[in-house]
Amino acid sequence: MNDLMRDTMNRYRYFIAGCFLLLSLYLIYIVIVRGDSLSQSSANPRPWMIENRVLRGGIYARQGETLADTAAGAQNMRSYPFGPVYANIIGYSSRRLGKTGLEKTYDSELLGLKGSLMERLEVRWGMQGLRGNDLYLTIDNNLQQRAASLLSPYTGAAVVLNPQTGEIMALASSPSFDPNLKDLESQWDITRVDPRQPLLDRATQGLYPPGSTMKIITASLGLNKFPGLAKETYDCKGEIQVQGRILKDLGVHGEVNLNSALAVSCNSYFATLGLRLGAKDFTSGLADFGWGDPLKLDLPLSQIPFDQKSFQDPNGLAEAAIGQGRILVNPLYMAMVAGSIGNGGAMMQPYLVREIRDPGGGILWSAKPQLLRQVISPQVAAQVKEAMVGVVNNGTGTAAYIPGLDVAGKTGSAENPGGDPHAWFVAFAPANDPRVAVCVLIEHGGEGGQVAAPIARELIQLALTQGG
Amino acid sequence: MFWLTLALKYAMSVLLYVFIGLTLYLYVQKKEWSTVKSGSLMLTAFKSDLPLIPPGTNWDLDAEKIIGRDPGCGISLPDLFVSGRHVRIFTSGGSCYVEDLGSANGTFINGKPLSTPERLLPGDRLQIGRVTLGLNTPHQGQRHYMLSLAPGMILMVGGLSLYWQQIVPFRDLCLMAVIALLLSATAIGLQPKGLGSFLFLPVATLSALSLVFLFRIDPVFGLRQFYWIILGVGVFWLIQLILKDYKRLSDYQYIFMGLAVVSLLMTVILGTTVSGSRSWLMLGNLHFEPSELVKIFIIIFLAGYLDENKEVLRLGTRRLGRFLLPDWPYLGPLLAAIGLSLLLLVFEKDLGMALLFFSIFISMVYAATNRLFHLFSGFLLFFGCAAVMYMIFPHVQERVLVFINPWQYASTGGYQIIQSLFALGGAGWLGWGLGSGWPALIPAVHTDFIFPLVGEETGLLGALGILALYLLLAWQGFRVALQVSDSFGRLLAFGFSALLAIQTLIIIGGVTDAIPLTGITLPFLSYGGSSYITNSFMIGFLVKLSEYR
Repeated sequence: MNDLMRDTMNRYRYFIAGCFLLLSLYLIYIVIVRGDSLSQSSANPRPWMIENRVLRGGIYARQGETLADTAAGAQNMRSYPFGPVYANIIGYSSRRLGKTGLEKTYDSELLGLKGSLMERLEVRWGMQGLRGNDLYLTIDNNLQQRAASLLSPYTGAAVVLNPQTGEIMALASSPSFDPNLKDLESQWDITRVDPRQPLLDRATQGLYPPGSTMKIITASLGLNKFPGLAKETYDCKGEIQVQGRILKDLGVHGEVNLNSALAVSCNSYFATLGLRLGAKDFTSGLADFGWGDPLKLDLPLSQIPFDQKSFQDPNGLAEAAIGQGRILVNPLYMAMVAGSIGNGGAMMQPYLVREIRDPGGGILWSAKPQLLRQVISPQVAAQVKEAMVGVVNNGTGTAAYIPGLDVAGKTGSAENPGGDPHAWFVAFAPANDPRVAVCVLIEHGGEGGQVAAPIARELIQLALTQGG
Repeated sequence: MFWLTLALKYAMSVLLYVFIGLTLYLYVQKKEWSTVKSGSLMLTAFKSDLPLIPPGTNWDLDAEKIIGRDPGCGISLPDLFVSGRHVRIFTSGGSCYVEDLGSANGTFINGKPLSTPERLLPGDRLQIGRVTLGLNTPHQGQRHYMLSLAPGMILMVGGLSLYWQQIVPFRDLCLMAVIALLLSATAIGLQPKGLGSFLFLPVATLSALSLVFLFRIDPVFGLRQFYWIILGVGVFWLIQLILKDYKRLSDYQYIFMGLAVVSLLMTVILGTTVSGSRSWLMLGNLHFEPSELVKIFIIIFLAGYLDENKEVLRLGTRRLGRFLLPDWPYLGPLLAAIGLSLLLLVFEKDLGMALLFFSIFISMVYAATNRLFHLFSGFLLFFGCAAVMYMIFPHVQERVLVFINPWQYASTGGYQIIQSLFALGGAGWLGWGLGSGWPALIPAVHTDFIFPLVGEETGLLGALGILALYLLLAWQGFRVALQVSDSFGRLLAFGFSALLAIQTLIIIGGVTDAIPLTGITLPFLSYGGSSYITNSFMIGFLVKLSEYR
């Protein structure tokens, strides 16, 4: 009898132990498996409470202008003196809306969490108020402001970079938004659904057909495969037929060679060149230019689609060769392409942050230029550069002409289903030793030579006079 | 300076991990009493006036031994008061039995004459002539004084850390020192009780942590808990000193039931509502939760009633389909009494306590009758009641909906649970360190939600350690239940242990969203006088019961 009750109790006690075991496993699951996502949840105020122990570091332009800073005692109010001009680069840092841009990418640096072990520990345990590290950007404040104001009438993007190092000197997108929290949070519901998409950084995240700017790449691939191409001539009849489909030109260009075809942006010439290259060489050539490799930057980037299948069809190949059809790029990438031609075929890794400094001004980290890839041989690059100088001197890009300076450029008007073509202009200068490469894109701007090229010219002029 | 602060933040946690690890290790090392193999049992002479048999003499107990004066006996006692063949000791099914072989002067087991064969349990004293014998296991008598000091050390280190971080003033540190002394003294004082000491160790540790964390949350809570702990330990000692014959409690079982009903009725009529539950009585300045006391009343009632009627309840006399049910006269009072208590709790809106009572009821009936039928019908009844309550009461509905998806109610009903999950989820293995968490973000962090804070600051290891402490406590309590010689005492011990275990599971499961949240305190750790004193009473009772084997 008593033993029966003992047995029952004994069984019950193992049942209880089992419950404890299950609860322990569940606790382990909460902490180990769900821990990270719980800690990062937007409803969790703890990360902000840790952050507010730190005076978030500032963000400064190339010459030291303050682009973002937090005043002591006002930990919740980050101020952005230039407002919309840098919104696409720096982003914002808001308790309610989260973080974007460099504020997000360099969050732990700005919070000093990547500083010395000691500082990190002090922040972790909140033992004293700390100041985070400062970011010094490659952005030239004058250039960025000018780019923003030149773009302001339009929807579009402008990128200025140093082709020899990859430093981005300006990265503007229009329309933009004011990241200052008071405006941002009060306007958020409007901004978020604004059909002009001010939150989209068109320079890095926009995807557009490159239009005729693509011909730089087609020309490079052609020269690479056919060394005698520059001497060959071609008779442009104003249109060509590819498998029964007619590809129209802007006019009848008559007898052209590579240089003059690029100068007048002859579609027939480059479509034919694309077909001559063939799907295989065209595809591998694009791969040399970086198609299919993920682009990297400190900001979110739209990855460039690499639709190899569409090149198998002659129509698709001909369209791709003149930058229409399935080919899509972002403005930053086109600036990199232009820069790489100017830099002897060497495409540099673009970057935005030059230095990270501790609160005392000591340099914790500084960027080093990095070769991303050799897209084409220096000989071919030199030939293409020659042709691009022709575009500005006596072709479609004369609006970017600067007296006393060799500017190499290429216009583009990308047909799109949304209305007027997107206007492109890519350039680098001075042609022989380029210190600046530019890409301007105006959505539905029409002819690249009319809208985009003048903006590019102003930016080049300013960049070179600054001695940047 | 920095490193010292950091070290102090974690010193208490580390001490806690080491202590719990060591305790568990030592605990597992000890052999299970009830499953001792016959070969490893020893018979020891505890007292002896015989020159040839000095106290401490051991004999191996294999299959069977005859004790007597004859030199041919397995255990030969040269004593004139011992018959030639006096008593037989044999093992059967892992248990040890003694049978008097018609001796002239009799055999006494715990002072009572042995008439029929009886089971000999560890701790029993077998008196034969001028010799007192008892079962011995290899580890018995091993004492761990250092271990007894650990709860006090944990408390002092935690207090120092808080003082160093300027969270508490020097006065509070002194108060903690007083409790540290009290806990250490009690733990050491209980050492001779062996089993009882292992029962008190988890309690002392939890009390120490309770005081540290309550002072850390708000010194006002800490100061009050200081008094509650002193009172609780006082109650504990009082039971050790004055409780002589607990068996007489079973004579008053209906009075306890009456007390329970009256207390709950009074609460319904005169009670004040605190955080949604009308479960508090105000006595002048004193808040008081009668349902805590009712826990004890109900367990005493159930133990008494079930002890009396267990045979009838087990066998059943009425047929219902394939099942045999006990008659109404036996089942009725039980169900009515419990039903009434539950009903009152529903009116008080104290869901946690209702759930706890229900679980205890089912558990004790199951233990007394050994019938799974009661367990299953109890569960069915429970889910039936739960479904009805879900339909009727909006606050029950809300609890269930929040349980299913707290994120949907992140800023309303689910806020508390979500903050609790955040606190635990961000803790990692070692936690943020004492004083580095965010108790202000969790409502009711000092009572029902103290576990997430302890987890946040001592880490997953600390949280698991605390679970281990509760399991150890319950396990040890069940061990006491298994050893108590009479079934009333056994049911009492079982009820107290099951209650502590279930209460812990309900509230820790609730704050981690493993089960729907129902607010009850975490035994010994949460702030609260009624709860602390009641739980101390139960532990005191268990320790006392551990002597009756």
